[in-house]
Amino acid sequence: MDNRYLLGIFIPKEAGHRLELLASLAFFLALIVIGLTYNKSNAWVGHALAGIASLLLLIFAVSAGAMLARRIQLASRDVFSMHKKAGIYFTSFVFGSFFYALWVELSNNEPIMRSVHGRLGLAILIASALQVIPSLASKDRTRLKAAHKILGYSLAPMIFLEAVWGLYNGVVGEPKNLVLAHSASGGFAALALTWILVEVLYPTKRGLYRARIASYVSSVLIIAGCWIVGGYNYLTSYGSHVKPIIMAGPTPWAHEVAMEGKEHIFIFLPVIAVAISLILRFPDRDDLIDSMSRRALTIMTTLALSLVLMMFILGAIISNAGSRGSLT
Amino acid sequence: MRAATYAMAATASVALTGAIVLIHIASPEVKQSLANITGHHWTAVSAISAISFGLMLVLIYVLLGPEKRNGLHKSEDLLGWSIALVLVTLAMTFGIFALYVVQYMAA
Repeated sequence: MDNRYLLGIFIPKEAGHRLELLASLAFFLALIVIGLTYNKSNAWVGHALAGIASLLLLIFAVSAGAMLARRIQLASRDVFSMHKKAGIYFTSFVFGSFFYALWVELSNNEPIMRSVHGRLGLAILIASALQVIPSLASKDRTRLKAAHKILGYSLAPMIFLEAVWGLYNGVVGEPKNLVLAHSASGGFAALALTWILVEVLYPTKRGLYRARIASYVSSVLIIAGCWIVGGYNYLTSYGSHVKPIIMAGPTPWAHEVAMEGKEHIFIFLPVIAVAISLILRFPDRDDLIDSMSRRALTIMTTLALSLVLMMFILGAIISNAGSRGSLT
Repeated sequence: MRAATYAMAATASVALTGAIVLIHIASPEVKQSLANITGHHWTAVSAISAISFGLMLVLIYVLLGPEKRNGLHKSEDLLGWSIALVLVTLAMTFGIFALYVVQYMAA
């Protein structure tokens, strides 16, 4: 069978079919979650889900852009179409996520655009519109190339920072800046690990060099930002300020299971990150051509990235439990 | 050192650290012993994780040599050790969550 249908939607079996699948799934999932959580205390979950979908679509768009510029290996002949579609879907999700959050805040009579999260969201909205609209409207895209490239690569850290700030908004207790540094390190480490994955999956001659830099960045962020800063905050502030609030609130399991699990499972992450850096620093071959090594690095990097994302989800649960506990 | 050595040392370190975490969740005495070492059980487990990774690297290097190849230690085994690392990490992760859930339900 050459083509596929998902929930009645035509999914062509071409380069972009995974993209269509991701966008369709994310759209329906976001709709269901928004429907289930609207007007409830956990209405933020729908907004967060749309944000995560836009992040994944941005990774597709940036990777396809890097393929077009021959920075990474071409995955298919139809990369331009994939890049264009990913950009349009990404912008649609950014608009959806932003206006949904705005709608929720307005209907709850909450002040809008007061937080850095809201303002950064608006900046991302404008930047993503500037990426897509002129590129679709202009016939001669060569003039836009440099600005398009800079803005495209800048959007990735902006989106990660936006996710981190969203998490930070729910943090209770002091010192909040340490928590921000801790979660920002996690966000940028996830970005660096994604970068390694892209380089390893689509290898070029200079891919090993760039993957090596990304691995050093991820190791430093995980050790210094996540482990040392997060550990210091956990030992000096969390136990005395946040834990009692969560334990007295409606979701004590957020500490008993989520926080206890998070603090111990995290300890595996620095070792895995350093092992990835060492494999890339001292490889058996001076390139990424060996498919066995690339597969091994893909597996290890996916493991590290999954752990970072798990830490984010657990962090969101803990922050939310702290916020809910402080209201009771 | 061959690339597989790093994945091998990471697997051993995660297995050792995970086992200590599982034991200290189940046994308050072990948790207290760990806390006595550094002042807090989490700091002790963190130190054990970092030290065990370094020690495993040295141990594997001394035992197997820089280029020596045998059934366990070949460059081709990088894939095998990366899969082992995933399996060990997943097993420890599920084990830790399972113990905390059981303790929470029992309390």
